Amino acid sequence: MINKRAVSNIVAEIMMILITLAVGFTLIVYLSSAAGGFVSLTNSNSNQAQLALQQYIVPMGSYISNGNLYFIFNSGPLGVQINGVYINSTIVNTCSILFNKTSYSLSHYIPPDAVAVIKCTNVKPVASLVTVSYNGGEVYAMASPS
Amino acid sequence: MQWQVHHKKSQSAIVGTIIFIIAAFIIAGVMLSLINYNQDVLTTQKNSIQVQQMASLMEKDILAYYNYTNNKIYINVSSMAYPYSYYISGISIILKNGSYITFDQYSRVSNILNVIVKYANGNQKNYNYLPVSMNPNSSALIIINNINSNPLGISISIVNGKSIAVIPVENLQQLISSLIARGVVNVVPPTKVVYNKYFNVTFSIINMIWHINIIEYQGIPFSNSNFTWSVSMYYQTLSSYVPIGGNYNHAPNITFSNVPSGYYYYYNVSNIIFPGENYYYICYPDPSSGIILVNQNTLVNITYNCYFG
Repeated sequence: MINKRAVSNIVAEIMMILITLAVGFTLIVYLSSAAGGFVSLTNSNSNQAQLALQQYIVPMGSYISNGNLYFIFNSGPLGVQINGVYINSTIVNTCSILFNKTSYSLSHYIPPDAVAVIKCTNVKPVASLVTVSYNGGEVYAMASPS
Repeated sequence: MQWQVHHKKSQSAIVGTIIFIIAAFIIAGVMLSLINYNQDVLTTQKNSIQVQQMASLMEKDILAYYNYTNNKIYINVSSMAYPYSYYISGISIILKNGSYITFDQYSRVSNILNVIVKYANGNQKNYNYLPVSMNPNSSALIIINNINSNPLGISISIVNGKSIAVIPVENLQQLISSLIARGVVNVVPPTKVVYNKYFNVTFSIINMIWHINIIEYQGIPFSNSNFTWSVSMYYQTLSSYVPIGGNYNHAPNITFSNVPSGYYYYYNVSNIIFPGENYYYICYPDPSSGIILVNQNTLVNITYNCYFG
Protein backbone atom coordinates (compact mmCIF):
# COMPACT_ATOMS: atom_id res chain seq x y z
CA MET A 1 0.00 0.00 0.00
CA ILE A 2 2.85 2.35 0.89
CA ASN A 3 4.48 1.85 -2.55
CA LYS A 4 1.19 2.45 -4.38
CA ARG A 5 0.65 5.72 -2.44
CA ALA A 6 4.17 6.85 -3.22
CA VAL A 7 3.75 6.28 -6.95
CA SER A 8 0.35 7.98 -6.89
CA ASN A 9 1.86 11.10 -5.25
CA ILE A 10 4.60 11.49 -7.87
CA VAL A 11 2.18 10.94 -10.71
CA ALA A 12 -0.23 13.36 -9.09
CA GLU A 13 2.49 16.00 -8.79
CA ILE A 14 3.62 15.56 -12.39
CA MET A 15 0.03 15.72 -13.53
CA MET A 16 -0.60 18.81 -11.44
CA ILE A 17 2.46 20.54 -12.88
CA LEU A 18 1.44 19.58 -16.41
CA ILE A 19 -2.08 20.81 -15.76
CA THR A 20 -0.66 24.02 -14.27
CA LEU A 21 1.55 24.58 -17.32
CA ALA A 22 -1.38 23.92 -19.61
CA VAL A 23 -3.55 26.34 -17.65
CA GLY A 24 -0.64 28.83 -17.62
CA PHE A 25 -0.21 28.67 -21.39
CA THR A 26 -3.93 28.96 -21.89
CA LEU A 27 -3.91 31.97 -19.56
CA ILE A 28 -1.04 33.72 -21.34
CA VAL A 29 -2.70 33.18 -24.70
CA TYR A 30 -5.96 34.54 -23.33
CA LEU A 31 -4.27 37.36 -21.42
CA SER A 32 -2.06 38.48 -24.27
CA SER A 33 -5.09 38.48 -26.52
CA ALA A 34 -7.23 40.31 -23.96
CA ALA A 35 -4.39 42.66 -22.97
CA GLY A 36 -3.56 43.18 -26.63
CA GLY A 37 -7.17 44.12 -27.27
CA PHE A 38 -7.18 46.39 -24.25
CA VAL A 39 -3.86 48.00 -25.18
CA SER A 40 -5.04 48.38 -28.74
CA LEU A 41 -8.25 50.03 -27.52
CA THR A 42 -6.26 52.21 -25.11
CA ASN A 43 -3.83 53.06 -27.88
CA SER A 44 -6.66 53.87 -30.21
CA ASN A 45 -8.30 56.13 -27.63
CA SER A 46 -4.93 57.52 -26.67
CA ASN A 47 -4.02 58.11 -30.31
CA GLN A 48 -7.29 59.89 -30.89
CA ALA A 49 -6.67 62.02 -27.81
CA GLN A 50 -3.08 62.63 -28.88
CA LEU A 51 -4.16 63.46 -32.41
CA ALA A 52 -6.66 65.93 -31.02
CA LEU A 53 -3.94 67.38 -28.79
CA GLN A 54 -1.56 67.53 -31.75
CA GLN A 55 -3.97 69.77 -33.62
CA TYR A 56 -2.46 73.18 -33.91
CA ILE A 57 -3.38 76.36 -35.68
CA VAL A 58 -1.02 79.04 -36.82
CA PRO A 59 -2.27 82.64 -36.71
CA MET A 60 -1.66 84.52 -39.97
CA GLY A 61 -3.23 87.85 -39.12
CA SER A 62 -5.91 89.54 -37.05
CA TYR A 63 -7.57 92.95 -37.15
CA ILE A 64 -10.74 94.85 -36.36
CA SER A 65 -12.65 96.75 -39.03
CA ASN A 66 -16.17 98.21 -39.12
CA GLY A 67 -17.07 96.57 -35.83
CA ASN A 68 -15.95 93.13 -36.98
CA LEU A 69 -13.00 91.17 -35.72
CA TYR A 70 -11.14 88.99 -38.21
CA PHE A 71 -8.72 86.27 -37.21
CA ILE A 72 -6.99 84.55 -40.14
CA PHE A 73 -5.26 81.26 -39.47
CA ASN A 74 -3.86 78.10 -41.01
CA SER A 75 -5.53 74.92 -39.80
CA GLY A 76 -2.34 72.85 -39.54
CA PRO A 77 -1.54 69.38 -40.83
CA LEU A 78 -4.31 67.57 -38.95
CA GLY A 79 -7.09 70.04 -39.43
CA VAL A 80 -8.61 71.68 -36.39
CA GLN A 81 -11.83 71.69 -34.40
CA ILE A 82 -12.48 75.30 -33.41
CA ASN A 83 -14.50 75.48 -30.22
CA GLY A 84 -14.72 79.07 -29.10
CA VAL A 85 -13.38 82.60 -29.25
CA TYR A 86 -12.57 84.93 -26.36
CA ILE A 87 -11.91 88.64 -26.66
CA ASN A 88 -10.02 90.04 -23.68
CA SER A 89 -10.83 86.82 -21.79
CA THR A 90 -14.59 87.12 -22.36
CA ILE A 91 -16.26 84.50 -24.50
CA VAL A 92 -17.90 85.89 -27.63
CA ASN A 93 -21.02 84.31 -29.11
CA THR A 94 -21.15 86.33 -32.31
CA CYS A 95 -18.39 84.47 -34.13
CA SER A 96 -18.49 82.31 -37.22
CA ILE A 97 -15.86 80.63 -39.37
CA LEU A 98 -15.46 81.52 -43.03
CA PHE A 99 -13.88 78.77 -45.03
CA ASN A 100 -13.94 78.13 -48.75
CA LYS A 101 -16.51 80.90 -49.30
CA THR A 102 -18.92 79.37 -46.78
CA SER A 103 -19.77 80.54 -43.26
CA TYR A 104 -20.09 78.02 -40.44
CA SER A 105 -21.15 78.48 -36.83
CA LEU A 106 -18.93 77.33 -33.97
CA SER A 107 -17.90 74.72 -33.11
CA HIS A 108 -16.68 73.57 -36.49
CA TYR A 109 -13.96 71.39 -37.98
CA ILE A 110 -11.64 72.87 -40.62
CA PRO A 111 -9.72 70.39 -42.83
CA PRO A 112 -5.89 70.27 -42.93
CA ASP A 113 -3.71 73.00 -44.46
CA ALA A 114 -6.59 75.40 -44.98
CA VAL A 115 -6.56 79.15 -44.54
CA ALA A 116 -9.75 80.05 -42.72
CA VAL A 117 -11.08 83.20 -41.08
CA ILE A 118 -12.95 83.65 -37.82
CA LYS A 119 -15.27 86.63 -37.97
CA CYS A 120 -16.89 88.08 -34.85
CA THR A 121 -19.40 90.89 -35.10
CA ASN A 122 -20.19 93.78 -32.71
CA VAL A 123 -16.62 94.18 -31.54
CA LYS A 124 -15.32 97.45 -30.08
CA PRO A 125 -12.66 99.11 -32.26
CA VAL A 126 -9.90 98.92 -29.68
CA ALA A 127 -6.77 96.78 -29.58
CA SER A 128 -7.87 93.45 -28.14
CA LEU A 129 -6.43 90.14 -27.09
CA VAL A 130 -8.07 87.33 -29.06
CA THR A 131 -8.00 83.81 -27.69
CA VAL A 132 -9.12 80.95 -29.92
CA SER A 133 -9.75 77.62 -28.25
CA TYR A 134 -9.54 74.44 -30.25
CA ASN A 135 -9.14 70.74 -29.51
CA GLY A 136 -5.35 71.03 -29.27
CA GLY A 137 -5.35 73.99 -26.88
CA GLU A 138 -5.50 77.76 -27.22
CA VAL A 139 -3.80 80.34 -29.35
CA TYR A 140 -3.51 84.07 -28.73
CA ALA A 141 -3.23 87.06 -31.04
CA MET A 142 -3.54 90.82 -30.78
CA ALA A 143 -6.09 92.47 -33.03
CA SER A 144 -5.90 96.18 -33.71
CA PRO A 145 -8.34 98.43 -35.57
CA SER A 146 -7.23 98.77 -39.19
CA MET B 1 0.39 9.84 10.94
CA GLN B 2 3.82 10.95 9.72
CA TRP B 3 3.10 10.30 5.98
CA GLN B 4 -0.09 12.38 6.22
CA VAL B 5 1.92 15.41 7.42
CA HIS B 6 4.41 14.88 4.57
CA HIS B 7 1.54 14.66 2.09
CA LYS B 8 0.13 18.06 3.26
CA LYS B 9 3.54 19.71 2.80
CA SER B 10 3.70 18.27 -0.72
CA GLN B 11 0.25 19.63 -1.60
CA SER B 12 1.20 23.09 -0.25
CA ALA B 13 4.33 23.13 -2.46
CA ILE B 14 2.30 22.21 -5.51
CA VAL B 15 -0.22 24.99 -4.86
CA GLY B 16 2.66 27.45 -4.37
CA THR B 17 4.28 26.38 -7.63
CA ILE B 18 0.99 26.75 -9.49
CA ILE B 19 0.41 30.25 -8.11
CA PHE B 20 4.00 31.25 -8.90
CA ILE B 21 3.85 30.01 -12.49
CA ILE B 22 0.47 31.62 -13.16
CA ALA B 23 1.67 34.90 -11.63
CA ALA B 24 4.84 34.79 -13.76
CA PHE B 25 2.76 34.31 -16.93
CA ILE B 26 0.43 37.16 -16.02
CA ILE B 27 3.28 39.54 -15.19
CA ALA B 28 5.12 38.59 -18.40
CA GLY B 29 2.00 39.24 -20.50
CA VAL B 30 1.30 42.62 -18.92
CA MET B 31 4.95 43.70 -19.14
CA LEU B 32 5.11 42.89 -22.85
CA SER B 33 2.00 44.99 -23.52
CA LEU B 34 3.33 47.90 -21.44
CA ILE B 35 6.66 47.88 -23.28
CA ASN B 36 4.87 48.10 -26.63
CA TYR B 37 2.66 50.95 -25.37
CA ASN B 38 5.65 52.84 -24.01
CA GLN B 39 7.45 52.59 -27.34
CA ASP B 40 4.39 54.06 -29.09
CA VAL B 41 4.32 56.99 -26.67
CA LEU B 42 8.06 57.62 -27.13
CA THR B 43 7.71 57.56 -30.91
CA THR B 44 4.86 60.09 -30.73
CA GLN B 45 6.88 62.42 -28.49
CA LYS B 46 9.91 62.16 -30.80
CA ASN B 47 7.78 63.01 -33.84
CA SER B 48 6.29 66.00 -32.03
CA ILE B 49 9.75 67.41 -31.19
CA GLN B 50 10.91 66.95 -34.80
CA VAL B 51 7.82 68.80 -36.05
CA GLN B 52 8.57 71.76 -33.75
CA GLN B 53 12.24 71.87 -34.72
CA MET B 54 11.43 71.85 -38.44
CA ALA B 55 8.89 74.69 -38.05
CA SER B 56 11.46 76.72 -36.14
CA LEU B 57 14.04 76.19 -38.91
CA MET B 58 11.61 77.34 -41.58
CA GLU B 59 10.73 80.49 -39.64
CA LYS B 60 14.39 81.40 -39.36
CA ASP B 61 15.63 80.47 -42.80
CA ILE B 62 12.95 81.51 -45.25
CA LEU B 63 12.73 85.16 -46.18
CA ALA B 64 9.78 86.92 -47.79
CA TYR B 65 9.13 90.52 -48.73
CA TYR B 66 6.55 92.34 -50.81
CA ASN B 67 6.19 95.35 -53.03
CA TYR B 68 2.84 96.96 -53.94
CA THR B 69 2.73 98.81 -57.26
CA ASN B 70 0.12 99.36 -59.97
CA ASN B 71 -2.62 97.46 -58.10
CA LYS B 72 -0.39 94.42 -57.88
CA ILE B 73 1.31 92.84 -54.93
CA TYR B 74 4.66 91.21 -55.66
CA ILE B 75 5.83 88.80 -52.99
CA ASN B 76 9.30 87.35 -53.18
CA VAL B 77 9.94 84.14 -51.25
CA SER B 78 13.47 82.84 -51.08
CA SER B 79 15.66 80.66 -48.98
CA MET B 80 19.37 80.48 -49.45
CA ALA B 81 19.81 78.76 -46.12
CA TYR B 82 16.93 76.33 -45.63
CA PRO B 83 18.24 73.00 -46.96
CA TYR B 84 14.95 71.11 -47.37
CA SER B 85 12.03 71.18 -49.76
CA TYR B 86 8.79 72.75 -48.60
CA TYR B 87 5.39 73.90 -49.83
CA ILE B 88 3.86 77.35 -49.92
CA SER B 89 0.44 76.32 -48.61
CA GLY B 90 -1.37 79.56 -47.84
CA ILE B 91 -1.38 83.32 -48.35
CA SER B 92 -3.15 85.88 -46.21
CA ILE B 93 -3.42 89.57 -47.10
CA ILE B 94 -5.08 92.23 -44.95
CA LEU B 95 -5.93 95.39 -46.85
CA LYS B 96 -6.27 98.95 -45.63
CA ASN B 97 -9.92 99.14 -46.72
CA GLY B 98 -10.80 96.50 -44.12
CA SER B 99 -11.06 93.54 -46.45
CA TYR B 100 -8.82 90.52 -46.69
CA ILE B 101 -7.75 87.99 -49.30
CA THR B 102 -6.72 84.42 -48.65
CA PHE B 103 -5.46 81.62 -50.83
CA ASP B 104 -5.03 77.96 -49.98
CA GLN B 105 -5.36 74.56 -51.62
CA TYR B 106 -9.15 74.74 -51.29
CA SER B 107 -9.36 78.03 -53.21
CA ARG B 108 -8.87 76.20 -56.51
CA VAL B 109 -7.43 77.96 -59.53
CA SER B 110 -7.45 81.74 -59.18
CA ASN B 111 -7.15 84.18 -62.05
CA ILE B 112 -5.67 86.87 -59.81
CA LEU B 113 -2.90 84.64 -58.44
CA ASN B 114 0.29 83.93 -60.34
CA VAL B 115 3.17 82.11 -58.69
CA ILE B 116 6.41 81.94 -60.66
CA VAL B 117 8.85 79.47 -59.19
CA LYS B 118 12.45 79.74 -60.24
CA TYR B 119 14.36 76.55 -59.56
CA ALA B 120 18.05 76.25 -58.76
CA ASN B 121 18.81 74.96 -62.28
CA GLY B 122 17.33 78.13 -63.79
CA ASN B 123 14.03 76.56 -64.93
CA GLN B 124 10.82 78.43 -64.25
CA LYS B 125 7.27 77.20 -63.74
CA ASN B 126 4.04 79.16 -63.34
CA TYR B 127 1.12 78.25 -61.08
CA ASN B 128 -2.17 79.94 -60.31
CA TYR B 129 -3.11 77.76 -57.39
CA LEU B 130 -1.67 76.49 -54.13
CA PRO B 131 0.14 74.58 -52.77
CA VAL B 132 3.35 75.21 -54.65
CA SER B 133 6.37 72.99 -54.13
CA MET B 134 9.71 74.65 -53.45
CA ASN B 135 13.02 72.84 -53.78
CA PRO B 136 16.13 73.91 -51.88
CA ASN B 137 17.63 77.09 -53.34
CA SER B 138 14.53 77.82 -55.42
CA SER B 139 12.70 81.12 -55.10
CA ALA B 140 9.17 82.20 -55.89
CA LEU B 141 7.66 85.42 -57.12
CA ILE B 142 3.99 85.59 -56.15
CA ILE B 143 1.98 88.17 -58.09
CA ILE B 144 -1.53 89.04 -56.92
CA ASN B 145 -3.48 91.20 -59.33
CA ASN B 146 -6.41 93.59 -58.96
CA ILE B 147 -5.57 94.82 -55.48
CA ASN B 148 -7.17 98.22 -55.08
CA SER B 149 -6.08 98.99 -51.55
CA ASN B 150 -2.74 99.14 -49.78
CA PRO B 151 -1.82 95.95 -47.98
CA LEU B 152 -1.45 96.31 -44.22
CA GLY B 153 -0.20 92.86 -43.39
CA ILE B 154 0.80 89.87 -45.48
CA SER B 155 1.83 86.44 -44.32
CA ILE B 156 2.43 83.13 -46.02
CA SER B 157 2.18 79.69 -44.49
CA ILE B 158 4.74 77.09 -45.44
CA VAL B 159 4.69 73.37 -44.79
CA ASN B 160 7.23 70.64 -44.49
CA GLY B 161 5.61 67.33 -43.54
CA LYS B 162 3.65 67.98 -40.37
CA SER B 163 5.47 71.24 -39.67
CA ILE B 164 3.78 74.51 -40.49
CA ALA B 165 5.34 77.92 -40.08
CA VAL B 166 3.98 81.34 -40.88
CA ILE B 167 6.40 83.79 -42.44
CA PRO B 168 5.52 87.45 -42.02
CA VAL B 169 6.09 89.14 -45.37
CA GLU B 170 8.11 92.32 -44.90
CA ASN B 171 7.39 95.52 -46.75
CA LEU B 172 10.21 95.84 -49.28
CA GLN B 173 10.14 99.65 -49.30
CA GLN B 174 10.46 99.79 -45.52
CA LEU B 175 13.17 97.15 -45.62
CA ILE B 176 15.12 99.05 -48.26
CA SER B 177 14.77 102.33 -46.36
CA SER B 178 16.09 100.62 -43.29
CA LEU B 179 18.95 99.08 -45.24
CA ILE B 180 19.86 102.34 -46.96
CA ALA B 181 19.85 104.15 -43.65
CA ARG B 182 22.02 101.59 -41.95
CA GLY B 183 24.22 100.41 -44.79
CA VAL B 184 24.63 96.77 -43.92
CA VAL B 185 21.96 95.13 -41.86
CA ASN B 186 22.03 91.77 -40.27
CA VAL B 187 18.39 90.71 -40.50
CA VAL B 188 17.47 87.69 -38.32
CA PRO B 189 20.39 85.42 -39.12
CA PRO B 190 19.37 82.14 -40.72
CA THR B 191 20.65 79.00 -39.06
CA LYS B 192 22.68 77.71 -41.97
CA VAL B 193 24.42 80.97 -42.76
CA VAL B 194 28.16 80.72 -43.21
CA TYR B 195 29.89 83.33 -41.06
CA ASN B 196 33.44 84.62 -41.05
CA LYS B 197 34.06 83.85 -44.68
CA TYR B 198 34.41 86.13 -47.66
CA PHE B 199 32.74 85.69 -51.02
CA ASN B 200 32.54 87.45 -54.36
CA VAL B 201 29.34 89.08 -55.55
CA THR B 202 29.32 89.52 -59.32
CA PHE B 203 26.89 91.59 -61.38
CA SER B 204 26.59 90.62 -65.01
CA ILE B 205 24.64 92.14 -67.90
CA ILE B 206 22.85 89.24 -69.58
CA ASN B 207 20.70 91.21 -72.01
CA MET B 208 19.95 94.66 -73.35
CA ILE B 209 16.47 95.02 -74.82
CA TRP B 210 15.96 97.97 -77.17
CA HIS B 211 12.33 99.07 -77.08
CA ILE B 212 12.78 101.09 -80.26
CA ASN B 213 12.60 100.08 -83.89
CA ILE B 214 15.56 98.68 -85.76
CA ILE B 215 16.09 101.70 -88.03
CA GLU B 216 16.35 104.01 -85.09
CA TYR B 217 18.52 101.53 -83.29
CA GLN B 218 20.91 101.35 -86.19
CA GLY B 219 20.90 105.08 -86.44
CA ILE B 220 21.97 105.68 -82.90
CA PRO B 221 24.79 108.18 -83.15
CA PHE B 222 26.77 106.89 -80.25
CA SER B 223 29.59 109.16 -79.30
CA ASN B 224 33.01 107.74 -79.59
CA SER B 225 33.37 106.39 -76.10
CA ASN B 226 32.32 103.54 -73.88
CA PHE B 227 29.22 103.77 -71.72
CA THR B 228 29.50 103.26 -68.02
CA TRP B 229 27.28 101.39 -65.66
CA SER B 230 27.84 100.96 -61.98
CA VAL B 231 26.65 99.06 -58.94
CA SER B 232 26.58 100.36 -55.37
CA MET B 233 26.83 97.82 -52.60
CA TYR B 234 28.62 97.40 -49.31
CA TYR B 235 29.80 101.01 -48.99
CA GLN B 236 31.30 100.95 -52.48
CA THR B 237 30.36 101.92 -56.01
CA LEU B 238 32.12 99.95 -58.72
CA SER B 239 31.90 100.83 -62.40
CA SER B 240 32.28 98.99 -65.64
CA TYR B 241 31.44 99.82 -69.22
CA VAL B 242 29.46 98.66 -72.19
CA PRO B 243 31.70 98.86 -75.28
CA ILE B 244 30.96 101.16 -78.19
CA GLY B 245 27.94 99.89 -80.06
CA GLY B 246 26.21 98.78 -76.92
CA ASN B 247 27.13 95.14 -77.28
CA TYR B 248 26.40 93.83 -73.84
CA ASN B 249 28.19 90.54 -74.59
CA HIS B 250 31.47 92.34 -74.14
CA ALA B 251 30.50 94.31 -71.06
CA PRO B 252 32.86 93.31 -68.28
CA ASN B 253 31.20 92.11 -65.08
CA ILE B 254 31.34 94.09 -61.87
CA THR B 255 32.65 92.05 -58.97
CA PHE B 256 32.69 92.95 -55.30
CA SER B 257 35.46 90.84 -53.83
CA ASN B 258 35.84 89.59 -50.29
CA VAL B 259 32.36 90.52 -49.09
CA PRO B 260 31.83 89.24 -45.53
CA SER B 261 29.37 86.35 -45.45
CA GLY B 262 26.27 85.98 -43.34
CA TYR B 263 24.75 89.39 -44.01
CA TYR B 264 22.06 90.85 -46.21
CA TYR B 265 23.21 93.60 -48.54
CA TYR B 266 21.27 96.20 -50.45
CA TYR B 267 22.50 96.87 -53.97
CA ASN B 268 21.59 99.51 -56.49
CA VAL B 269 22.34 99.32 -60.23
CA SER B 270 22.76 102.48 -62.29
CA ASN B 271 21.05 103.41 -65.55
CA ILE B 272 23.10 103.54 -68.73
CA ILE B 273 22.83 106.62 -70.88
CA PHE B 274 23.79 106.53 -74.55
CA PRO B 275 24.18 110.16 -75.61
CA GLY B 276 23.58 111.11 -79.23
CA GLU B 277 24.04 114.34 -81.13
CA ASN B 278 20.43 115.51 -80.81
CA TYR B 279 18.94 113.04 -78.39
CA TYR B 280 19.92 110.26 -76.08
CA TYR B 281 18.84 106.78 -75.10
CA ILE B 282 18.45 105.57 -71.56
CA CYS B 283 18.60 101.98 -70.35
CA TYR B 284 17.01 100.98 -67.07
CA PRO B 285 18.33 97.95 -65.16
CA ASP B 286 16.12 95.07 -64.08
CA PRO B 287 16.47 94.54 -61.19
CA SER B 288 17.48 98.09 -60.40
CA SER B 289 17.96 97.25 -56.74
CA GLY B 290 17.57 94.33 -54.42
CA ILE B 291 18.67 92.54 -51.33
CA ILE B 292 20.95 89.56 -51.30
CA LEU B 293 22.19 87.31 -48.56
CA VAL B 294 25.86 86.64 -49.15
CA ASN B 295 26.29 83.03 -48.18
CA GLN B 296 28.37 81.85 -51.14
CA ASN B 297 29.84 83.32 -54.32
CA THR B 298 26.83 85.06 -55.82
CA LEU B 299 25.94 86.06 -59.37
CA VAL B 300 23.28 88.71 -60.03
CA ASN B 301 22.06 88.88 -63.63
CA ILE B 302 21.00 92.27 -64.93
CA THR B 303 18.84 92.99 -67.97
CA TYR B 304 18.76 96.53 -69.33
CA ASN B 305 15.64 97.90 -71.05
CA CYS B 306 16.45 100.81 -73.36
CA TYR B 307 14.17 103.65 -74.48
CA PHE B 308 14.39 107.10 -75.97
CA GLY B 309 15.49 109.52 -73.33
